[in-house]
Amino acid sequence: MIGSLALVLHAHLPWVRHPEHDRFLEEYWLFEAVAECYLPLLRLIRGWDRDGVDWRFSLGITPTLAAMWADPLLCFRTQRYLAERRDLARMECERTILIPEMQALARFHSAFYHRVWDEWEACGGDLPGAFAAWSQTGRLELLAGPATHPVLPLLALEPGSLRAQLRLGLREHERRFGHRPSGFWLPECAWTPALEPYLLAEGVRHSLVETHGLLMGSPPAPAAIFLPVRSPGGITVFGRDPLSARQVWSRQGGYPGDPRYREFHRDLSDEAEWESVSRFLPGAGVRYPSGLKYHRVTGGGGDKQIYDRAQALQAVEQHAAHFLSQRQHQLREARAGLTRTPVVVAPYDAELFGHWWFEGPEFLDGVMRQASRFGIGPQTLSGAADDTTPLWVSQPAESTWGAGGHLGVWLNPSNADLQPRLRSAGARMVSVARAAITTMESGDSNGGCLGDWARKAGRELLLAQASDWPFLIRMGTAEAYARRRVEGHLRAFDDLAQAVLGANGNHLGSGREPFWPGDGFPEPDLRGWWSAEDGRL
Amino acid sequence: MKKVSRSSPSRGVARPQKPPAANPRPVRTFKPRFGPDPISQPLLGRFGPRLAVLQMRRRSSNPVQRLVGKGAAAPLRFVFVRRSKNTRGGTSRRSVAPVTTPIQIRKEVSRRRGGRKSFKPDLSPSADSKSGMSALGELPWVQHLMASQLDPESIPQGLPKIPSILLEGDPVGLESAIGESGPGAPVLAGTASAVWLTGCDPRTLLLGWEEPSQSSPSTASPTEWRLRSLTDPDSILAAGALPEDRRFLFLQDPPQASGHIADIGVRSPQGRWECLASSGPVSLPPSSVPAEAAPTTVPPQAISGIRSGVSSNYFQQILDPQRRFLGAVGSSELGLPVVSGRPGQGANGGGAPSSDVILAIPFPETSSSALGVTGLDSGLPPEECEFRVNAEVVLFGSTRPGSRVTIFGRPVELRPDGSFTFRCALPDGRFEVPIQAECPQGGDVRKTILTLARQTMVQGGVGSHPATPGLPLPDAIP
Repeated sequence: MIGSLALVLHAHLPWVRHPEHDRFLEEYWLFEAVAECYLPLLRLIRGWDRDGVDWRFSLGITPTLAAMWADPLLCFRTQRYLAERRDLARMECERTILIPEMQALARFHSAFYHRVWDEWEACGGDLPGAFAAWSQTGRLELLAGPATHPVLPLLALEPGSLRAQLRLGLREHERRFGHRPSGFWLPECAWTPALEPYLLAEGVRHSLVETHGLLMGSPPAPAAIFLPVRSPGGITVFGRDPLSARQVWSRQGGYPGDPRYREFHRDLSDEAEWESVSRFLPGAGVRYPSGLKYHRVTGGGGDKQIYDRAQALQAVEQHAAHFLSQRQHQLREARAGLTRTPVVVAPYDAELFGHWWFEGPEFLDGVMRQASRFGIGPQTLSGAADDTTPLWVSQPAESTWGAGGHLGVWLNPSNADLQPRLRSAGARMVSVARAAITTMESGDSNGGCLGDWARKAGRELLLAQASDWPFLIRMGTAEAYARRRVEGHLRAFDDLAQAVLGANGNHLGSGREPFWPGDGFPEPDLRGWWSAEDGRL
Repeated sequence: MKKVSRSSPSRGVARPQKPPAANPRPVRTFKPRFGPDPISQPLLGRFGPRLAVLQMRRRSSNPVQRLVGKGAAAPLRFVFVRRSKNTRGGTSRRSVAPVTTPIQIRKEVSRRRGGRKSFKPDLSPSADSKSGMSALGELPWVQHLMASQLDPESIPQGLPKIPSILLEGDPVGLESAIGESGPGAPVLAGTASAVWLTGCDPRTLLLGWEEPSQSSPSTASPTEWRLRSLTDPDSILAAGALPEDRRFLFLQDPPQASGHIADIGVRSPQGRWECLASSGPVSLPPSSVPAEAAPTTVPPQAISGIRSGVSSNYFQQILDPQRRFLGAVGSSELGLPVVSGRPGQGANGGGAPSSDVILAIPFPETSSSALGVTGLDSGLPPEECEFRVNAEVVLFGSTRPGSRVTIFGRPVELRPDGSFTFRCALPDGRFEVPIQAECPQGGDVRKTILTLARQTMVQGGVGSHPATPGLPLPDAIP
């Protein structure tokens, strides 16, 4: 074995739950990812286990995603979506009856959604339970994360919110997956040295950062990204391999851009007459992608050609072998300069495999099954971290995996207006927590009610801090929705904070429990923001 | 401790010394150049009942210096955070105030409180366990502090001495900490976060601030900002007017400094600057590419190597500067080769031109988020005008309920009244569509064959799919 490949998948979606609508477009983010990414991933694992493959990888599941997986309403809607896709694929077999090559694809889609349905039934719709069960084998490492996927360096000046994010994230991970994790996914791989004591205080022992976090660390990592470093406080920090990232993400040369792969941007909802597909879409005249696609990337500026599954699988095989040969080359080079077995850490969004890149799961399958042939051992981060091994001590530099390598994606003229408001709310939350805690501990009869409002206020604040909203605003995709979400959470926070600080919730609604945007998401512990013992922020 | 031993000068780390300045500043330098740098991590301690936290950090502003060890260490940074009573009877921490050197700390504290009482900081792990610093007591620096019983003279050689001022605390009744506005001065709401700086990238700072509380009679809206250097707080690096329509301001390419502090304030009718609030100190994040490196330091074949095979030279060049570090301080214990001798080729980069430092790792061109965007090209050329046409046909009819209807031999679902509808796409060509119905009792079979034809002629660019995938989707259902 010349070295290890630590594949890290980061599964995350923001908290999107709209019980006030029967169908809501943004909830389809979850349904699509379940059908195209998470269930196929479970199917892969099952296959590896059945065939005796030496598989190992790390999977970060954010608390927002895990909470959506476990939410009964969203579970019901996910199941409805899966059933509808099965029906849509069946209908497509009829609609394409005069076009044999498309009908063959329609049959393929029908079989695909039947397999997805079977996987859903096999796990009983319990995705957290399914992944937790596989983590018991020791081959799947589940990484924790902060509660709502904030860019943590932006909270470095708000210790209260930072602590609350970490504590709720770790508490929820433990509750849903049954163990206290030592590995931690830093949202957006965003690191600043100021995070270190907070992570240590919550028991985090290893994580990973962007490449230049290690290369520009203090001192720079001597083995580049081929060995982890240990931060001064004792966190084992891995660095992302840039070449693995480029091979998958590059607009020009990345694998998913191969002409043989299925084209993401041309969907059945664009192909079919509206009446044929509308009942399977979110509704209200929105021509949203259905998930069924008939064309391949093709390349060039001409019309897209029909997808050929056999050719795509051939491309997968070639790309998996190429990926492994490149890692083999890297590891050989690195090993020549090291006395320890090097490791390449390749982190990706889990939703890339299956959703954006339809053949992504087959690629993962090929990589995992062929790795040993290239002398590469799949490894988890915890397996590669090995706390007992001495490591180079270095403080990683500020870095993110966003474009530019810093905070520019989440802090730029299009979205910077969110920050002052979030900061103000964060500062006010300290007062809210203090008021609620002191009232509760004084034995006041209003204490329970105040504590309830304060926890809800904290939850709304945490949800407003998610990195997804400034990201979506920056990218111009679902910008209006992202702004509405931040507005909604901050408005709810203001109402609840006012109720706590004024000790009067009359304005919250008359006689019935009001609806809050964060309803359904777990509530944080107020002591992240303030505790009576030390009176700190 | 192993960490300390690795940082010991006895390992032969040659660190260049800065030539003595004519008027040397009271800055502290550190012998250990590599290995654990205890002072580079936040050190938080409690220094009395009201004054609380000290943070010290060392950072060179120049990433190349930090990389290859050129130049002297940057000064220490000290941050005081004061804890004070608030109007609700609780306590809050507020007023992050930066100063630069121990002498400045001494002067400022002395000026503000007039007397001095000695007591020791509470650094016990238990005291900090609730502040999220439970591991504080495990840090090597803190262990040294505790082991030495906080006696500055007993600090082991090789570690910096603690300025004596840090072993003193605030006297009871100290009303204002460093950087606070005096009584009667305008205040901002929530001064703990009234103004802040964030280093967005190596060339950009984001200045944000809060509006003053409307309920306070002594509030004033800030109208101007100033940017100061951490190392020379009296000099103004940049200044300007605050925008009225927003509460943030990007400061592009701020003057070079090892750290920055921002003030916001107002100008009195007499033209006197009145500071309303100061931010905490912030350093710009290090560049991901050394400033002195050549613009294209990654060999082209390394980039094209994605498809054509990775150049071994690429990894060689990534590793080479790292190996030069190893030349001085390699350790088989760390999995790194020990290279004997040649300290001159160690971390100080002796003999190695800076352009050899190859760290220009290209970033993926998109942020890798699960949502909204992808690095994959839609393949759609930008078009000013679009026209897309396709055809589907609807075959429909009825029969007796319970009959069996097939189209192309495939059964079709009947509605309860016996009607049926069949939609199919109609491509170019001529098609015969057999439709058959078999009555419930069987035996009676009716059959028809429809002939459908389509021929498409186009002028100009006409697409075959009716909707335009390039068009933006509505955000949500209303």
